[in-house]
Amino acid sequence: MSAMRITVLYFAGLREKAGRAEAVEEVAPGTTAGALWEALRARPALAGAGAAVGLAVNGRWAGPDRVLADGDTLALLPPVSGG
Amino acid sequence: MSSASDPGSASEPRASATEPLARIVDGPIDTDAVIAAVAGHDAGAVAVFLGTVRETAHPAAAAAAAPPARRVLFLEYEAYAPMAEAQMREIALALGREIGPCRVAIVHRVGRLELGETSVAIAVASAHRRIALAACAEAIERIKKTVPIWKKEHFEGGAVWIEGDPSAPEGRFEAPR
Repeated sequence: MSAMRITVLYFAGLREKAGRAEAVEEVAPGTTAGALWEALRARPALAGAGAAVGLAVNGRWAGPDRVLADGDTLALLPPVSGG
Repeated sequence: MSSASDPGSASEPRASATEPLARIVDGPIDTDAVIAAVAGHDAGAVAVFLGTVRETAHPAAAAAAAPPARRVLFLEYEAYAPMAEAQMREIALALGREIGPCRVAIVHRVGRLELGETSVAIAVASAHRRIALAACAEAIERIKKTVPIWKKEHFEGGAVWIEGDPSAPEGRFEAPR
């Protein structure tokens, strides 16, 4: 099966650490949101990035076990501090 | 949109019990318009909350740091806007279900905010004051926990992104199927 293309969105401190707000990643079918985040934070640019990051798929909060589909958007959300 | 009994013109944003006003904006918040969005002759009360930019540092940051509290110069807010608006809308609808019939308008600003400026405005109209006050108070608590918005504190000599409570708040994750 061919790889899936996932758009990854970075926000706040993570965006600054990553040096970008958005990137497209190719992952194997069956990859979960949590697995992709673990793979991304293993990269040097995101070394030390917080484990407390929340995940959203297509604009809705998602648990780490959420299986991604081709074309999904995964947002990496540091602990929120609005208000 | 606007009925004959409603104040304001049809061009102004309106909130209803089933269609709350939930917006991310990048300029100053017109608090009168936020209030007008929920006002109506069926309301016995309109409760309003304004979050404003404070000069002293975030309490959590100040408590953890031995040095004296930082003096904030300005704040910078960032949002995942489409999700933030959807989350604010869901919060507003949940308040109506859980607390009582009400109309809710929530407007949160992003970008650079100076001291004293309004970062978030919430207006809740209800036939009864207890519902309006309780829903307004609960709205800001939920916004601070579940809406994807972040603030960066700029102070003399640096800047830092403020991170909220990292424990997964209830209701943040998708309900299990």
